[in-house]
Amino acid sequence: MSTPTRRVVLVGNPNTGKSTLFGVLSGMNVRTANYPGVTIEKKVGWLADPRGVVELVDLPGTYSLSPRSPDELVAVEVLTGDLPGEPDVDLIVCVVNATLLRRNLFLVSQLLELGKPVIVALNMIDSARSRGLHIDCERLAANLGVPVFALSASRREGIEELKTGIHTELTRQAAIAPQRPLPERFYEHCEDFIASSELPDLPSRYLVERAILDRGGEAERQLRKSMSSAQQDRLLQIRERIESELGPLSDVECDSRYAWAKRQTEGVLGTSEGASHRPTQWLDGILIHRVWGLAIFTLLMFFIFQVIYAWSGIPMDAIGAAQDFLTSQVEAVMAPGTLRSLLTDGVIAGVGSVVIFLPQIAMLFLFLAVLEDCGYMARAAFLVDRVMGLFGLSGKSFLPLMSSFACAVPGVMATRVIENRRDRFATILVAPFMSCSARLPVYLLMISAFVPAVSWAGGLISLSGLVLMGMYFVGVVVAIPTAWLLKKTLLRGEAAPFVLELPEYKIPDPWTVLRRVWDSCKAFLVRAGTLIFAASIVIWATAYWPADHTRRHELQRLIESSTSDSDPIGSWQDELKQVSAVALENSLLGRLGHAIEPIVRPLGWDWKIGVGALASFPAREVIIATLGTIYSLGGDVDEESDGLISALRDARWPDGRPVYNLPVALSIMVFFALCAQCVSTLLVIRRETNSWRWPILSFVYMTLLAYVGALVTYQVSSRWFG
Amino acid sequence: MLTLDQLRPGEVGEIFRIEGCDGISCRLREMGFVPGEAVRFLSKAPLGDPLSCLIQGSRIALRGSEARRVFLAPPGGSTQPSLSGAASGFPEPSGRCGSGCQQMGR
Repeated sequence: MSTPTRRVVLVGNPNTGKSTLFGVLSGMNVRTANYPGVTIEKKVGWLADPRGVVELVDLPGTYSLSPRSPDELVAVEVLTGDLPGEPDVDLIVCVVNATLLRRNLFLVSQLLELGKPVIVALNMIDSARSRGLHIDCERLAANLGVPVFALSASRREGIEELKTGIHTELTRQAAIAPQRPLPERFYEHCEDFIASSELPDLPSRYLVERAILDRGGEAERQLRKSMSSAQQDRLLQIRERIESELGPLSDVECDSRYAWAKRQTEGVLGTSEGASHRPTQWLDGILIHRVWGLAIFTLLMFFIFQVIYAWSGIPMDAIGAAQDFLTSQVEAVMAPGTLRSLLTDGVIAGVGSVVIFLPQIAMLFLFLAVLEDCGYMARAAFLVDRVMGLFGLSGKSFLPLMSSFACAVPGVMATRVIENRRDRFATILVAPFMSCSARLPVYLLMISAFVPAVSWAGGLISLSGLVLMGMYFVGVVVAIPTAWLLKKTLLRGEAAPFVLELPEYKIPDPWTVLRRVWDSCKAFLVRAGTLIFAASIVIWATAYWPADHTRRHELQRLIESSTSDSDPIGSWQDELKQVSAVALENSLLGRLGHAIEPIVRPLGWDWKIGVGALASFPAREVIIATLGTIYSLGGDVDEESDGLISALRDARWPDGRPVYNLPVALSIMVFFALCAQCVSTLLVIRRETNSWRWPILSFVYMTLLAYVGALVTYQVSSRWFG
Repeated sequence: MLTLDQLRPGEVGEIFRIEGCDGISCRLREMGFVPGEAVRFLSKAPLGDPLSCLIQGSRIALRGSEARRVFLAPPGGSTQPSLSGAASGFPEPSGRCGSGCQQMGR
């Protein structure tokens, strides 16, 4: 193509159906990435059309272009062309909710100040009509001075007209003058300031205006960085001068913009029968009712949790079976050796450890997308905001934290619904404390081996059950002060507004829902999955080398090629288990286990538990198989196998005392409850925060907390029970 | 002075001013909380906080601490507000932004 690809950006308030429109316009082929240094997602699609290919960029929903955080500033800079490395915007499509036209025009008034071509896409025109709301689009277009297209993205109405409009606007060459909805004196002062500022790399005019308008806003913060103190004083002086002439700036801006919006809608809006919200009003009467609202919410959450926790077991078992099948196929065609071990224990196990998360991610995001798209999500946040206040978080953190009880990987990904960066990061950092399903095998093994089988009330309450429940509480009890502390230290700042729109209820759009599920699965596979896979290979290598595997491979070969019944297969297998245990002990991992024994001794652990804990840093459930190998039982044990339980009970220190007792079991469980033993979670945190800083922080503080927690548990409980 | 959180479910008030110049007050203004606009109190969340209200045709949930920044005109003071939002005459901007705001940019 001779001309460079034109770039169209989609902007709009939340709840305007912008994502649906983006999906309808761009189809399935969407690329997501992060803008450098921030967590806002860059969603790029292509509008394929005989008239030429257009690049379509979707920005996060926003009520204004008044940035108050680095993330919001980046979104504005994409529009103003101030972001280095980003091509200029050729056209802005502002998606407007037709039922809330006047409020949505607040954002439109800011967009028209940028001096770029703008199209208004008046979405949800069908709901406006069904409410008896008439909008005169031609008159609105004439008032605004930009094309207006009425459409319904969910019903695919008016889409072709919008596409044609986009192409027509892109071919127009006329320069566009920025509109001036604020008092003229304000712009004159700004121009004076820019003309006399003597700054070499001043941002675009709009951002300078924002720096003057938004006291303590992000535009001001950024601008001040490049200013001398004299220039900063000039900025404050100009603001004071404007305020002395016009009044407080925040009031001036909002009064002028709403007055402007009122002028634009004069003679445009007509109502036939009083605008009613009957279905929403009726549903809210139940869904946020004092009793029914909470009851329905609890049931719904229980159902979602049940599905992620229990039902996803079916596809997960299938993935496990596929993994076993592949392994056996490889073992059938390859002789035992390093390459085979790399393939089966490294590659196949590594791919399996990535794919195994997909069922939970898909299911959670299916629920999230449905709840979000039908309008319930905002109500859920409304219902539990008070409870989440305990964590110093808002109601929007509830679902991500709850789903982390099944698995922190989808839980961390689900924090994208929290638009405030500090709340989101605090939620991400405490999500791994929620006891995920991978911790359960560890708890079950320790409880069934070392917690006395005591029960009360005719077997209804058992000590084992209480201990298990206690383990689930440990995480929550630690998460509350941690989140609170994070919000007071690393993530402190201006209190985030909770102010949340409760949109009209609607039937979810299946296409939008499926896309959301597909996007999250793809994002996980491509951007976290590759790292998780690489990590699994590295871990395999540390557990394999440097040890002598000759005898081990020889024994495997003998066992696999054995045809005669007279072969001593039983004794070969026993020897193989011992040789494997020795190999693990001699590997880098085993040596590390020995090296850290002095450190884990105060927790009541011996080096074998140390190796088990080390080996389970990539994934905590690995400890069961590792303990199986160390105790020469082979790697194929599970938490219910009697062999492992009795091996643990029989384990002795050199002086004959048993290694494991109740305090040791409790200390192991507390360690596993608090430790960040999950490479997948850490790498998803890296992806979601777009920085290595946060996963490293998570790892360090969780490991420290786990160590201290296990130490206190052991020292206290061994004095109690010992 | 009456604030939004003091209304009872179903009651309507007319906004007189929004306190503050920080992120919360900006967000309130962007979402339609502007002087002269009518606001209807809808309900409180089951645990007492946040609360929900209707403004400019949209339902907004906000915390009690945020609703306390929304000052309402004394009942019967100005013309009767209408929910369609046709604001009639803004109140005088006397002291609409507290003097505390002047310090915040420094």
